[in-house]
Amino acid sequence: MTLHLAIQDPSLTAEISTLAQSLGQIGATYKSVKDLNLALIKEGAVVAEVNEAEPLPSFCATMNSLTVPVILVSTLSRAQNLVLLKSCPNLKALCDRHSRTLSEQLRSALGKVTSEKRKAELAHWLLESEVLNSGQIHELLDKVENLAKQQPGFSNLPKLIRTVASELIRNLIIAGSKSREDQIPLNFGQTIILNLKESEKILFRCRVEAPYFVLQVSDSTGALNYPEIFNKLHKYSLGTEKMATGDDLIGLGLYLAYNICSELIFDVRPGAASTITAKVLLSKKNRDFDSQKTSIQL
Amino acid sequence: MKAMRLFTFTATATGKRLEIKIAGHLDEESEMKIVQPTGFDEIEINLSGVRIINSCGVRQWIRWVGDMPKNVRYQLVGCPKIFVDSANMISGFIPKGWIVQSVEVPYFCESCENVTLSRANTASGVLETPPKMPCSKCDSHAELDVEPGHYLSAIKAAHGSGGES
Repeated sequence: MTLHLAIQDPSLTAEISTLAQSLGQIGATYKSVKDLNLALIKEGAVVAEVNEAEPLPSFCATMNSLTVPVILVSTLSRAQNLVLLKSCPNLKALCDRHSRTLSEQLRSALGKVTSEKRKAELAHWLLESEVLNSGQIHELLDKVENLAKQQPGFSNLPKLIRTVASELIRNLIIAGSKSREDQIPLNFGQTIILNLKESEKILFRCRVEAPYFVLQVSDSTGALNYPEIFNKLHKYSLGTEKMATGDDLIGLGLYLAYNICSELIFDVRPGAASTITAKVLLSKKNRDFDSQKTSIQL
Repeated sequence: MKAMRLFTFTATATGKRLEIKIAGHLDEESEMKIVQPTGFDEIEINLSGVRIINSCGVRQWIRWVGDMPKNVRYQLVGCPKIFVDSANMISGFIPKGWIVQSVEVPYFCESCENVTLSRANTASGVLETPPKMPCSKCDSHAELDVEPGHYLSAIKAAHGSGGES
C-alpha cells in the first residue's frame, strides 16, 4: 500500500516526498499522515490508492484514523470495496478500477484538468456532493414498474416502462453533469454522484393518461442541452438506419427510450430549465405496440 | 424484488465446451466476466433468466461480446423478448456468426387477455412455433403476438440469412 497523493499543490511536492519516505509501510505509521494532510486539507482531500497487497482490516483501521475525508482509488474486488465503504466512515468516494469504463471516465475527467488547484476544487466538490445511491434509483424504478404492472398492458410492458424511466433519469444525470463546468461525470463503484445547488431541483413524475403511461423528468438547473442527441434521434427518426455497435453510442439511452415510446417530447430552455416527457402506449397486444411509430417533438 | 434484480453470471466448462448462464438485470451493476480464450470449441450462452437490459447493460454486452474469444462456435439459448428487442434496435448486437438457438415468444389470448410465454427454436432462421397455442389461463386459442419477420430480423442478420435493414 502506498499513499498516493494525486491531488497536491506543486509547491508541496518536496514536503510530500520527504514525508512519504519517512512513512515507509503504511500500517502503523499511517497516523502521521494527519500532519501531512494539514497542508492538503486546504486544497480539499486526500486521494489514496489501495490494492490486493494491503490487508483489509489494517487498511480500514488506517482510514478510520484519518480525520480528513478520503477518495479511494481501489483495485480490490467489489465485495472488498463494499466492506471498505461500510467500514470506513470517512471514505467519501471510491473509484472501482475493476469497472473499466468508470475508472477510465474518472482518469479521463481528472486528466483533462491541468490546474492542480482546479483538481483540488473538484475533489472538494466531490466530497461536498450529495450522494444519490443507485440503490435509491432502483427503488424508484421498482415503484414505476409496479405502477405499470397495475395498468392494462402486455406482460413485458412494465419492464419497458422501467427501462424508459431508467434512461430518462440516467440521461439527465449524465447530460447534466457533462454540460456544466463545475461538474465532471463520475461514477464511483455503484454510486452515481450528482451535484445540485440548493435552489436546483430534479423532478421525476409518472402518471397514467389513457392510453399512455407518461413519464417525465424535469430540471430547474438549465444545464441540460442535448444538441448531439437531438441530431441523432432526428436522424434515426427520419430513416430506417439503426444505431450500431460500432457507433460511439452517444445518446443510446434516449435511443432506447425512443424505440419504446409513442411520443418523446423535449422542452429545453437552455440556461433555464428542461423537461423530457415520454409517453408509452399501454397496449394489451405486443403486435400493436411493435407496429406503432414514435413521434419526437422538440 | 431485490432477488430478481440480482445479476448472476455463471460459467461451467465441460471439455471444450463452455456453458454460460446470465440472469437478472443487465445494467450498470452487472459484472460480465471475461472469458479467457483457452481452447473452447463451443460456447453456449443461456440468457433465459435476463429480465431487464438498460443502456448500461447494452454497453456491457457489446463490450463483453467484443472481448470474447474468436474462432469459437457461439450459441445463444432462451433469449428473452427484451433481449430480442434490444437486438432489433441495435445493429450488430448479436455478432455475425453467432447462432440464436431459441427465443421467448409471447402469445396473446383475446378471451382473457392473458399472455402465454413459449419458447421457439430459431436456429434455422425461422421462428419454429405455431401461430396459435392454448392459453395457459383459460385454454382458449392464444395467438402469436409478434410479427415473425420483424422479430427475427436481427437474428437472421447474425445468422447471415438476411434480416436487418
